Amino acid sequence: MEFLNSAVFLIFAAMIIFSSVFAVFAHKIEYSVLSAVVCFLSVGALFLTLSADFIGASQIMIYGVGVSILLAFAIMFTGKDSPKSLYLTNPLRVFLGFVLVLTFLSVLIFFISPVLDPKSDGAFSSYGSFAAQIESIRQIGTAKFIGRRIFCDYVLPFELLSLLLLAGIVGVGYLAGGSKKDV
Amino acid sequence: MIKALIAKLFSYFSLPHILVGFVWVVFKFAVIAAIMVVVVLMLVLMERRVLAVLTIRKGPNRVGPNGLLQTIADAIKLLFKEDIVPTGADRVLFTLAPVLFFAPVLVVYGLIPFAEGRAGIDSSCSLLLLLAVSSVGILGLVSAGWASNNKYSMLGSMRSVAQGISYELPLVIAALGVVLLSGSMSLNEIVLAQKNILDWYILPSGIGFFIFLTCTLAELNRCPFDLPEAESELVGGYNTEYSGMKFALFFLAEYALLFAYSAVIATLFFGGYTSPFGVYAMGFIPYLKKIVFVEQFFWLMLKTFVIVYLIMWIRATLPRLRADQLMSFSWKFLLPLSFLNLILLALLKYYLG
Amino acid sequence: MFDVTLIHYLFLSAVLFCVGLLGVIVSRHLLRVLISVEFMLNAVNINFVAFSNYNDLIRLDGHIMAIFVMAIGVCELAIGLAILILVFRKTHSVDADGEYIEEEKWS
Repeated sequence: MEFLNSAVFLIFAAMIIFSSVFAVFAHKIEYSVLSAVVCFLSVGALFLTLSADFIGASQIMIYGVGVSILLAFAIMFTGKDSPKSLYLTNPLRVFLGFVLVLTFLSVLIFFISPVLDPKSDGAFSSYGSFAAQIESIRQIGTAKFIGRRIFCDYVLPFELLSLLLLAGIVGVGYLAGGSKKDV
Repeated sequence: MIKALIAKLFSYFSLPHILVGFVWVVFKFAVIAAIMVVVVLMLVLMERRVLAVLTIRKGPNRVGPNGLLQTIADAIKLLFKEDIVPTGADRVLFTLAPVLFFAPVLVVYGLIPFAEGRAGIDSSCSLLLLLAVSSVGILGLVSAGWASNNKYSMLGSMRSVAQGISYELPLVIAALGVVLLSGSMSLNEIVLAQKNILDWYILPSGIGFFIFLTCTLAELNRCPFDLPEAESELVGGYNTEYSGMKFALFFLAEYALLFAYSAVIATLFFGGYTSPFGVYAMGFIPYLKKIVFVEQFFWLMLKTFVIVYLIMWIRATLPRLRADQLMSFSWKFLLPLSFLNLILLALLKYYLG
Repeated sequence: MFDVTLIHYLFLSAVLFCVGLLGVIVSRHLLRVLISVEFMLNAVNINFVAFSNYNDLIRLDGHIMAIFVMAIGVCELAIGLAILILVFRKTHSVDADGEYIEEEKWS
């Protein structure tokens, strides 16, 4: 069973990393968008393996469908008049970018590694007695519990989020809607 | 039962035991793919015969006994056609678009519960997964229109995508009404909550059924919403430049998705695989009790084919909507109606339990 | 083979974040910059949900944070794309460097 778990994780992790690298370094922007879609769908599948069924389905619907169609429409509106391939900035910036990102990656890995240390998870070991409840959440599914938490403990951020989305919709409608002069 | 059989076979041939789960999953999806192929074969012929009967003519009845081999003849014809790729078209995208449109249909077939506890994928959020995955096919339409290097294809695909995403909102909110009634997003739980005909969710959620049916017709690009593929309007819409097997993939995917959505409507509103009487006829015969899943499968197929016939009936009857009528119907009528449906169901659930 | 633990998901999240960061710095097409920002947000989501799954599955705080990050990210992407379309209408180019080599329109 753990063979299948690790095989599934390796397959999706490989798909995520290869498609994201391809999306950054593809010559044509359409290929970049399509491999970004592959990346988003693979992240959704990875969420499903993390017993996050609601978040996984949400990721597929929001990113894998919504964001992808947004990006596809953006290509269609901006594709025709620009030069053939806007690929990479000047080589000095590319080199400095690689140096910076590799430094940052090594700093991140340095700070992640203590998690491997068995002495250091004292703060998280207090949930060990809730094993039965955790198993029942994995069986029933997380949607009900997420709903309960959002509407009991996190109502204020939820309402603020709805205001933000409303502001976003109105803003996008005004910005991209075209002015009266275009008639 | 079959999993134990596979495990026994594996131990007989001394193969590694860890691959039993893998072979079981492959077997499940082989069964689902077989169901899909048979269903699409029947559905293509059924559409032509039903439309013919409703317009007082005879459909195809020459090929094979009563026309039953017509779909196979169509498939062979499409296989032998020349595979044209237009100049200036993006070869990779052009070939990939039918695949992008067809692949989510297989996943949707895996999520429908065909018998008790026997869906291909049994997740606790399977309704949301189904709606999410079936929308991934819209990307295939975008790629098809873009990759064809043809103005009419692009226009047709943009209209198709706009229609698809506009009608997705009332679809999801109508399905949310059913989730409210049953308390779970798992399709298996939704079916188990509708035990007999008095419990069917069409009774409290009739508006929801109407909304869901309308949005299904719009998602499938069928009449009365088939402006993107109407021959007199835009030549062929997004599949103008496609020929041969690629066109066959679009065609097959549309009919497979029609059956899948009808099965979802049957599951959500008509009780899925449960029988209207509450008990199964096979449950009374002692030595047939173990294979009740056959009868459950039969009930689901019966309900699904009634809804497929209803959808084909609507195609034969109603005229086509114009593009702006289509969009205003979705945003100005169906979306507020679906919110009203949700509020009514919430009040119903609160006051009547 | 091996037991998939929290550390594997954290490494994956770190690598995806760094690929996104590299995309933002290195890309010349404005749309690719926006896509790379979405990669960074997805990496953060993987991080939150992985922590929630391995340490905290009763309280589901990671899942809720992931929902909020997703919603805010989509909002920001929509506004960013609207601004991209406006920039394109004004300058007819999507060059992040601001240079635009005029192409031969009529040959």
